[in-house]
Amino acid sequence: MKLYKKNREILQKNFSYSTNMEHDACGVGLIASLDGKKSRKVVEYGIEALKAVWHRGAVDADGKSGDGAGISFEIPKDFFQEKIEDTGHKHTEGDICVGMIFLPRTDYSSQERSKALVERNLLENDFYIYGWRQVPVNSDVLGKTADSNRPEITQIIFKSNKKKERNELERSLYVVRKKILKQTRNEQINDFYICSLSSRSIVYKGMFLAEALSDFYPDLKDKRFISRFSIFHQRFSTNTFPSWKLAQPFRSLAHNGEINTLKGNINWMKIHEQDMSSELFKNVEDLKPVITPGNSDSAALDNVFELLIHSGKSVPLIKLMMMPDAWSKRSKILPKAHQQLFDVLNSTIEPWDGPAAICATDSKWAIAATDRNGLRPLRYSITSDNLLFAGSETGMVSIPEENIIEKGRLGPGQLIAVDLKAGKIFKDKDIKDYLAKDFTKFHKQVVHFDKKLGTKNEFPNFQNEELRQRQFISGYSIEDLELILHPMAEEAKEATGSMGDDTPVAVLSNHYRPITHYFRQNFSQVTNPPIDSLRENKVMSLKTRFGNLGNILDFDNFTKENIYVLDSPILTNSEFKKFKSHFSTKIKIIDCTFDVSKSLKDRLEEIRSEAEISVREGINHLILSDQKISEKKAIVPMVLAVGAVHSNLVKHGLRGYSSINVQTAEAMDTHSFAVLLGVGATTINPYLAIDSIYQRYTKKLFGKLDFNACVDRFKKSINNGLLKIMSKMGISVLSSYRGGCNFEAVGLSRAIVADYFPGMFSRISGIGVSGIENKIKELHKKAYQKNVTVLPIGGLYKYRKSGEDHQLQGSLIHLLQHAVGVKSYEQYKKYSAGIHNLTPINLRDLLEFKKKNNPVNIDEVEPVTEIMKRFGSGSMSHGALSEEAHETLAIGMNRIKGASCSGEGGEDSRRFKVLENGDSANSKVKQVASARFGVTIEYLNNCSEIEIKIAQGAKPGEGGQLPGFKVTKDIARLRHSTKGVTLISPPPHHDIYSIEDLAQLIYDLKQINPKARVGVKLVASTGIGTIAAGVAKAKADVILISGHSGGTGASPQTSVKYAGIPWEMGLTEANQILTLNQLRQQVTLRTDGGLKTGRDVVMAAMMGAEEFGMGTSSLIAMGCIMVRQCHSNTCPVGVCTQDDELRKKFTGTPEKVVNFFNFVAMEVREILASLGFKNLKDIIGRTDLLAQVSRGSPNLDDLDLNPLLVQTDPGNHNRYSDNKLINKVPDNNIDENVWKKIKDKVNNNEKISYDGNIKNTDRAVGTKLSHYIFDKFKNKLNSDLIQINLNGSAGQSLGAFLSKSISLKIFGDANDYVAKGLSGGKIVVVPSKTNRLKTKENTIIGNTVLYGATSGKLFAAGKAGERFAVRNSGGTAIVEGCDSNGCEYMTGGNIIILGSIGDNFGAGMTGGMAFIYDPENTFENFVNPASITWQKLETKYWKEKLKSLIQEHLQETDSVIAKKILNDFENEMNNFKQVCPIEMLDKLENPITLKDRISKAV
Amino acid sequence: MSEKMLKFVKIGQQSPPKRSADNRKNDFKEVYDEFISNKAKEQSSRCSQCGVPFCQVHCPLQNNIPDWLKLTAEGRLEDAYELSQSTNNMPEVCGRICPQDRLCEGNCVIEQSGHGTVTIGSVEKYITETAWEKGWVKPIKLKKEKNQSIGIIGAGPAGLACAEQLRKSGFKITIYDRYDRPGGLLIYGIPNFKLEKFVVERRTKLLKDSGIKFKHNFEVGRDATLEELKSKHDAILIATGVYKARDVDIEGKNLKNIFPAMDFLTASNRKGLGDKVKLFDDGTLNAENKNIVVIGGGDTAMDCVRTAIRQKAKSVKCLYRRDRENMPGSAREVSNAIEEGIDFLWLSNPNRFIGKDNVEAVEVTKMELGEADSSGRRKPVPIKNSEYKVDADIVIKALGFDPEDVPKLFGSEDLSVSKWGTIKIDLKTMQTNLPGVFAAGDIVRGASLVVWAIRDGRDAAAEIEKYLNSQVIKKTEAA
Repeated sequence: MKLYKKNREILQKNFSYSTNMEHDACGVGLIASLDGKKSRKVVEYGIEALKAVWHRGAVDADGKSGDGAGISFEIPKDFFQEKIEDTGHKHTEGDICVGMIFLPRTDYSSQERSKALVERNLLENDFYIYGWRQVPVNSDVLGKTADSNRPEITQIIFKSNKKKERNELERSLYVVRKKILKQTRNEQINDFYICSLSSRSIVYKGMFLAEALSDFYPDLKDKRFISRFSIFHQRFSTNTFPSWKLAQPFRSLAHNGEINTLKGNINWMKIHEQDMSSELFKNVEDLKPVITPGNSDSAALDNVFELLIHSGKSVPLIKLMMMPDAWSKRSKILPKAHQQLFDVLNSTIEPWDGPAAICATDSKWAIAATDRNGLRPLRYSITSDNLLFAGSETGMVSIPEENIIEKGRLGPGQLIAVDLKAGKIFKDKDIKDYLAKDFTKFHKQVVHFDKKLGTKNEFPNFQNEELRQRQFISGYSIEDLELILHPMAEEAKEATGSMGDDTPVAVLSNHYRPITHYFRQNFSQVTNPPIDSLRENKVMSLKTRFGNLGNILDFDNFTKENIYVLDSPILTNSEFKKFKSHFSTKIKIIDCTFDVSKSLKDRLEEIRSEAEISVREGINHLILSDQKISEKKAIVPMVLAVGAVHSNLVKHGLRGYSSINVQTAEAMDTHSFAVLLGVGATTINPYLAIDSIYQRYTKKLFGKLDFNACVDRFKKSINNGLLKIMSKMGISVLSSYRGGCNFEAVGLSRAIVADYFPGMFSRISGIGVSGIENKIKELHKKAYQKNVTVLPIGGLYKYRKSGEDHQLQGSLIHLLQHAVGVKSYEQYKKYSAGIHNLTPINLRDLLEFKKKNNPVNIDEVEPVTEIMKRFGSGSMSHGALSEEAHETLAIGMNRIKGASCSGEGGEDSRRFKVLENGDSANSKVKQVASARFGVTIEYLNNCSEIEIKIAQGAKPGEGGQLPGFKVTKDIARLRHSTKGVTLISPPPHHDIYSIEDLAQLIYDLKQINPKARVGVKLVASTGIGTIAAGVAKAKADVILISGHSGGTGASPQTSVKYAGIPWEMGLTEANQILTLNQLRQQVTLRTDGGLKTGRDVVMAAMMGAEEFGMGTSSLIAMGCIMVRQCHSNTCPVGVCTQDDELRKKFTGTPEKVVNFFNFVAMEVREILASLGFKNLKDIIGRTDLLAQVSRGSPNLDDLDLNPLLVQTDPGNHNRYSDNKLINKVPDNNIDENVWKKIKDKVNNNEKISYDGNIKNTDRAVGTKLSHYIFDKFKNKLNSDLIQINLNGSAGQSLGAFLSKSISLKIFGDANDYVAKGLSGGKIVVVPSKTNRLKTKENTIIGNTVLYGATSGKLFAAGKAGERFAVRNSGGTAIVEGCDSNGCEYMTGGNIIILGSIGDNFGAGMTGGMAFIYDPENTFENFVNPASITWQKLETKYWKEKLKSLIQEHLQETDSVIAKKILNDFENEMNNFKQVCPIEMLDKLENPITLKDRISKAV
Repeated sequence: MSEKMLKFVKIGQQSPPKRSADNRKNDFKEVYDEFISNKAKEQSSRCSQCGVPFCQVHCPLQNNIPDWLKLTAEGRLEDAYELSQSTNNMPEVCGRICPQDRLCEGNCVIEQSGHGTVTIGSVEKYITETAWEKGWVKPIKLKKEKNQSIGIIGAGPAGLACAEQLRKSGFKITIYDRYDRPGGLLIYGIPNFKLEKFVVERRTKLLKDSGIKFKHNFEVGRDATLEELKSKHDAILIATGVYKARDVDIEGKNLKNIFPAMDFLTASNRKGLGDKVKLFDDGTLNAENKNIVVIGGGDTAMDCVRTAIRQKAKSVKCLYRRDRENMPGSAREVSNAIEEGIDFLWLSNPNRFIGKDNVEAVEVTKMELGEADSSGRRKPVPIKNSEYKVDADIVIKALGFDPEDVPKLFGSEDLSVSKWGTIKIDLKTMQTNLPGVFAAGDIVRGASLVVWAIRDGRDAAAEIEKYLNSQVIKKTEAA
């Protein structure tokens, strides 16, 4: 513990760590009575349920310290009555108030001071104190770390002197609590925390395992603890340091998920604070800050939730304000009244966006609810004895099935609410109908501004030589215009590039680089999912709102002004003109240029104060414009101007009174727009980009498009780009993204960040305002130097001699290829020296080795064969690479006993066998990526490592698309898809929306192949350390940290350039935080992303890596010459292409690969010898052997790499992990039992069956068994040989990767991820025999069912959740209904849905067939028609197919609906819609329609 | 974009039509026709738009080749010209005479991978010819002329390029040249069949129209000393090229009718320009009906043999001591020459010249290739007793050029030169040891390609401008 604190201090002091980076996730639930009566059951069930979600939490190494658990319920009056009497008092009337308080346990004086403070405040506010009670606890159940950090847990029992109405009483308690908190902060009393202070409810929570809750707090066993509700929560955190106050539930809610927009929300809350007023509060200042600084996102959410509760809003309404549905693009489905309700609520507060399942209460209402995307599961059951159970999983509490009246789940944005007093339950639609009524009157105040701006007549501002000069001054290059701008205007698309980024990080560049280049986009990985902004567009919104915001406390006095809403923040030239004239009197234009003889810094300060004064004078719309540039006036970087103005207005509470509109030359690519909005801009008019489009238009470069159309397309591509950038960090609404500074700076000075972009992460410092000024002035001068200005050529994306530096220079490529070709180490050394002698490109180029020891003789150093075992060749798929290149690489890597990786494209099983000459083309590492292409039981059992690719360096947070023309017959076969049909990789893994989900996938993979290491591939970003800690706690064996520079086959250019950070930063942070949390020795660290030489390897080792990937370099060794046209399928050297003719040009050989890695290892050896080390492991994590020898250009403020080099003390542990370690996960008991019983009996001649029970804690049932069987029999057993029947609720991942010989039948229900990766097995889920539910209303299986299934069958007599059959590529399934995003990204298999479907059905579906039973003919309202077509069944083949499958369903499940349909099949058949991907129509073996109509259907 | 480019996968390589050998050897007109518009577009679209454009990497001028290929493929010739001329002062010259097979085209990625290079040179020529035709090539118009002036000695490619660059920046320029026409080697050295003279004259006229002054028949050292020029100008560039022919030091070297290559070529070029040339008109330098032997394997040797064949020589033989693979000249020119009927005697070294007054024959020793020397090339070793005779009426020595003694010539003995006689400069500033005196082109680097001369001229311009700007600052500071 001391060590932890010491290490944390070191890291914090050196800007290497901030507790803001921590994440958590969890299990959550609510139990409520539906008869208005308190009961003991409600509390007991809550405690029981917590024990059933233990697997959603993490356990510390001691097996006892959990990440936190807790429960809240109503104050048990009888119990506390007795406690009052114990103090000698007698409570007669009014409500008993109880405060549950954590005090600093070992600091007695602080304890006393806190107590006095609490008492004083209560007394001052007219409360009567009965006394303090030390809450009895049993600390034996705590782990060592949790115990050492345990607070003194006390309760203060009191009452109000005045008789107060209950809401008023609660409100005054809220205010008192706020005051106490402020005072303790002022007095710097640490570790003081109020769990609850209320007359209604009380919270018991702490840092123990969920199951230990009632053992730790014996109070809870008291029968007098009764309540009408209980809310419980189990936490999984990315850190190991126990923080008692971060345990949940909080005062009003428990939250499972992550608020992606937290930074924006906190900033906007500060802005709302300015406008708050209410008769209900004497002094609103007491309430500020609403959000207590330094807490978790969930705690912040709770802070706001609570405030709104006490301002008199009901809990369901608050949910709709803070977590609204995605409404704006769903007019087909949502009732009009709901849309209008959201339209109004949207104008009150910015959504708190991110995956969420919440359970909340104000003791009048209790709700369970999900976010707009439905990214966290919430299942519920209603029982005949008047209880509602809602929680992350079904089966958390064992309720007799016969008592269950209804089982359901909450879809995206939905909530279920209980009026506790009336005992009445409100379903989603009911409660929204109910609330909508109150808001109709406000709706007319919401004005859709786009209509006002009207039809367009676009025009340019500047032309000809003036345009060119402005382009020059604004940093435009020919490359920008040709490569980036043109496709945006012509095709409404962002340009695609490949092979990563080998240019200098902006701060090291010798060229002019716009400020936006120092901003790296945030992206989500592991702790929350990115969104697919293309296929799930309906949940995304760029709505931009003008007008003063209402007073969030008081809706009766809502703003009188109209609120203007735009669909996009981008204003074209004509729109901007109209915008200006519409608001004419309320506008102030601020000139964003500066005198070339004066300083930029001064001008920024002036701009700041001009803006502030204008707003104070009543201006509502600021316009920051750089149009006035001239020979005397240089451009003020708009990002700095906006940051300066926005941060200053926020600081003075003025931001809410004015919009910040930007008229800028600098915005061109999507990234630049995102940065401007991210730092606070309301709208952007990119006039120079539009003028540049006009220039191209006059040159007739857009074919038949007119200018308006070009501008429209440009705007559309920016809009799409913004959605993509937001979605990659999981944000779906712009209003919460704006001003959130969701970036991290690489190389901006600390002063700039603190002044203009407060709150943005920035680990290393760099260029300051004066450095930027110099660069601007230099460029400015050049623009006026010559008679004719030719724009610079560019060279940022592709090498040009006069442009930006690139590390992979032509001569070096040739040198390396020559070296490996003729096996000349001498030539290799020339290459290596060449790389080393370039001007600095990477951060590591500023470092040099420190010689601390005498050199040793090179013979004493471990041999190259040992060193090479640590090498990998990156993770590139066959699909990106040609077959020849992929296999050559695998053979080469296997020869050196290094690792090649299959990549995300499956692998041909022929490669699993050793070749005749003893070589093997079997990739040692098999990748599991979001598309799960070819992830079968066979694939997973032919490797020694499984890599879960969470993100890739070139485009973290984004999905991918393999265009149809690259999908050859072979590739289609390996990926279980169809030749010529587009394949999509989703941005997230649909079974990983949070850290506990990742733990589940790791668990699943360790079941299907217990002998393989499981690795997790992450991309470097600030905060990766805590994520890595979480991943280590999730039992991963390897963590791969990829740098931003990583190559890829195809990626949007701005993603290649502006997402992810150098691996040096990510690796060191991961190493530091893992060591801090004493997890380092449990996990192997690997890094990749532009490693090129032995020197790079040694650097990486010193920064903490023990394994090293070199993808691009190994491609170059095989002949790649960085043509960077991988995405075009025209690789002239046959490396990255599927074209048969081009593949013949491939000249790579395994020898070249071997030679390359041999040379690298030889160089490593030499360096080790020169530094005096004999083994590579001895230098792992030894950053003390590195010294910074260059601090970059003299233009910089200071470029200090110390945050990278700070060392944490590993204590008694090594700085590295054991070789090839495999971390253990708990056994799957059912499978172990079954296997024990049957292992000697299995053969192909007789069927075996097993009967038993199953609980939600039994996860991945059938998976380990599949492994055992595969291990022994391969795929040789018959289908359906082993029949397993189980009663109860199945845990997550039921039947994951189930092999074909096994049939699982569940009587009851199942949780998420049923049939994940199904590999031929059969799964049947039917209601228990005693259940009386209607199957089509009964949710029987959870979310993300059949994900990545390749073969096998699933029959479920009930409804499925979200994303049913997502990425299914061969499974057959019948269910009786499903929720949103059904059959998303499906590429194969047959799906039949005999009930209702949710929204966005068939998004990105490019293969397979679906049949929807749609007697009410509403299918079209729910479908996403982009890639599919539908019709009634026409052809015999498919009619018979459908019928036989329904017959099978009936046979397996005894389904009522199946029986009904079959009884009248000839007629019922017409009620089906047959859904087929458009691309498949001409490729079907059995057409769905008569031949002559195919073309029409297409 | 990718739709318009990367067509090498489907479209084969094609050069503009070459006139047949029989046809072309009858005149001095250029060998290659021009691309027609559609062909130029089509051939440009074959470019792979590489991430590392090896064509540019190996172009001395760092031309943005992939970019103007793309513009050409898209039919944006004016843009293409603008971009092309921004790195090259005479793209139509480079398009014609650069040894592309050793530079851009030879390193073209799709050439390297066996698809056949993009025909970069022809496209470059096409773009610029179109620009001339359409009137996009315009003289420089200054808004404001600067007061500082620069004197440039030598009107060859280096001097011309430097002059144009400095003029763009507004300086006053005077070019001094010892010949009666500007252009240097471009005008008198390179034969018409590679570069027709109107091309050069068009360029020099443009520079005159841009306000650059030319002083012809002006020899520094004779008409003014370097010192005098220095006092007239704020900076001086020496770009005189190298003209001293290397000699063959063997028996019979003083026989008549043994000429340095430049004498032969200049005579022929002057004739082409319509001048009276005594030594040609009297038949001395005319190859017609004679047996011609050219010694050497470089580009100049090729120019000589091909000029000779056009003068209707009886026979033309080229002696070279290494084999075809090891010839320093452009392989493309060698094959052109073979097509035109030149007889190559590879691995042949002249032993002695035979004749009374006039040369009558050359005795030749056969060679074989031995060990590689330090440059990596295999050294020719004589084969014993392999001598034979080759008849010769004229022998042309094309063995390369050396610098003249510039300090002596200029009367400026303190000007530093290297041991090879080239002018020594500071490689960064391009300044000689004399302040304000710069040097560029062959006189610094030794005999080399036109494209390098242009590059040097441009670099020198940039350095001279820097120097002059710093002089201004010094002056204002002093004031």
